[in-house]
Amino acid sequence: MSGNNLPESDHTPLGFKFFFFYVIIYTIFVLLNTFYADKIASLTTIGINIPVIYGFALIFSAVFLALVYSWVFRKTGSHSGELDR
Amino acid sequence: MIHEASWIAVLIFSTFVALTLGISFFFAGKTKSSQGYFAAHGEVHWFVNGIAFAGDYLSAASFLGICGMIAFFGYDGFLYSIGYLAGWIVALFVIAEPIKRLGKYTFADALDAKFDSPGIKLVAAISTLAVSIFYLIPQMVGAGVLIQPLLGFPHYAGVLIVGTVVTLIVTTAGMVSTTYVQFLKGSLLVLFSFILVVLILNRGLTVDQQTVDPKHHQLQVRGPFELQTQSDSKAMGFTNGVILKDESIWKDKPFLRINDSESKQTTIWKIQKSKNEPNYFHLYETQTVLEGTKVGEKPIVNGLPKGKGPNDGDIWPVGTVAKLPSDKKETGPLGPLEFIRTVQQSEIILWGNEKFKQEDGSTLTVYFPKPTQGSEILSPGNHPSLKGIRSDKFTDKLNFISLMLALFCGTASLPHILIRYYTVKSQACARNSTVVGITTIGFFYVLTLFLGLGAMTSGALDVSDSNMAAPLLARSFGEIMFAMISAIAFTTVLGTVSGLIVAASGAVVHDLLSGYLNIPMKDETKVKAGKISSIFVGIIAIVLGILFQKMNVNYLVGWAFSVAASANLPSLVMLLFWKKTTKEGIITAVLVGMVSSLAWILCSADTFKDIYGLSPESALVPFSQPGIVTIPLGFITLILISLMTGSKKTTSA
Repeated sequence: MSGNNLPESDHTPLGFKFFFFYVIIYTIFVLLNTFYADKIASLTTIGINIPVIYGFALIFSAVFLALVYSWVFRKTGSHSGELDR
Repeated sequence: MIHEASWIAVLIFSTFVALTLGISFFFAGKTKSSQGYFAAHGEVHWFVNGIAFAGDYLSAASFLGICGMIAFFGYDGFLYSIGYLAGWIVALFVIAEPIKRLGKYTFADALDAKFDSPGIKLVAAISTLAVSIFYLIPQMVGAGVLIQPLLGFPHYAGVLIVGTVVTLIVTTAGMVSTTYVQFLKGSLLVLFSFILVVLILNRGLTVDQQTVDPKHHQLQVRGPFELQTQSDSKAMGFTNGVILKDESIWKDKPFLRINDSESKQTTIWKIQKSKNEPNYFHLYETQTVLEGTKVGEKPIVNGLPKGKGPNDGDIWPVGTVAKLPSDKKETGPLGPLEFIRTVQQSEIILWGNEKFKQEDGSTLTVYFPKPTQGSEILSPGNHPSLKGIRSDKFTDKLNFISLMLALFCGTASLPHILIRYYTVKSQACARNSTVVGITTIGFFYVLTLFLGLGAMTSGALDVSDSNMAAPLLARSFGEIMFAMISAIAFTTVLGTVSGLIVAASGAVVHDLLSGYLNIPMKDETKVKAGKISSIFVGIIAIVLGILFQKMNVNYLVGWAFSVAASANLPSLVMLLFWKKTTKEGIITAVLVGMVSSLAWILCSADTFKDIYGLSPESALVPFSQPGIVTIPLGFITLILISLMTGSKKTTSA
């Protein structure tokens, strides 16, 4: 058997949107650090350089997206008792 | 540095160990089935599981390695924090719910859910064992690092104690006890890291702070001197000093060796040219460790035999602010952003080292101060492994991209993290526990930057051991804080190692013995086999922990991430999203990903330098981190093999 049939409910369009949004901001962060390290390190906002601010932003946005995702799907599936299957 | 044993630390640590063992023995009687032993009956509450995720994931590498890396190199350690957390996005939005639905005990269950192939079980088990062993090494090294200041025992004793305690935890109640140990550890680690950060911010920053040096050795800085005075010892204030010639290994090195004609001792000074005035230089006092003079002899530290007596030598604690903004002497309490802003505008003394192989076969390590601007410290590319960021060579830049890719893809591929999805009841619980995990872990990683910068300026750092930065930072706030943080760090190792051993023993029993070799086993026999394999994995972990003593624990975890991401992620993702995936495709992709990433690591410049002791220039691959090559290779292999095998009906491999 070479195929598989996973139900749609495993992944949601919102989950994918969040995932790709994060992939994009993470990729930009990595590329900026790789090719423009000196330039972004010399730029500051609120007195702190961009690599630090961007790093914090990545951490906080991961937490934020996770919390929003959890809130949107708070009524989906079983949270305490029975198995989904 | 020789650390005094702390009896408070011993007491707190013993209480933690007693508590964790108590939990384990309490649950032992209730864990008779294999589902109980390997998956905690699938009945753990999602919130407990979420914190246990943090307890499982925030390993010795996260706590000791990242803090040490930030304390010695600044921002680069924080890059690891960012990468480690980003990986959880893959776990939450791509992996969490389907892996819960498809599996039962091990990640091989999910991979094999549609095929029932012994071949998939075999390669998944091998991959699990390889990744778990790679991940175990830094945890055990961390245990050895901690035991020295905690109990005053040698490194191997720490490895032995952790190995024994963890094996006891796992062999009593398997995943049940492991879950609660990780929950306890995750909660305590985040709580006390937060307390430590509050203390750091409250203390603020002070110029030339020397908080914990019992002998209070003030490291000297001399100058500025004009360049032509470099050959005149008296002009530089060395009344009885004779300048030794820069011959052989010292030729063209930025060091000045002065032999005192009275004491006959030689001191080594770092020549630091002034940035603003090119014709002037400063001399900075260095620290030295001479090893391998004669077999069985103590190392010579700062000119004296290593020891704690009045005529003995020891490493002096370091970590000072040379200059604060507006030439202040101290800042007083600072807010979080203000703290970072102040560090960025200050000048801080970082420390580097250089090793000299001498003619008599001994090795002299010179630790030297590096006055560094805060703005540079908070920029990427200071750590040797991330130097490529500032390099003009494209391959060096690829090395960094490769590392960040591996961190992003690695989290959701780590077997000991994946099996935690089987300990909750439903997919919704899997999702919720991931969210709790991300929140807890994210909060901790924000704290790491403050912990690292706090250690950097604490006056408590050990230049010879970056892994000790966090506990020594705690010591700068007193013995009780040191005892708590050391004991928590030790519990950190217990939590992660127990998870790894459960994952490895599950792979051996469920995937290899039962799945691949088809050995018929009753449920209770599976539990027994799980316990025996746990003991074996525990022994392997102990041996490797002793062998890899000298490596930075954080860097080794990077390897584990690369292997996990290359071997496991392509198959997991393609199984979920590509209907043409075949079992042959999965088997080949796991093998190719695992072998290619391992081979790449073993042929890399970092391994040549740190493991083989060879010149990094003779490495066989252009950069050290394999992810950017081996992760796509795993995907391509799976697609090609699946396309080649997809049209025919296949039987179990």
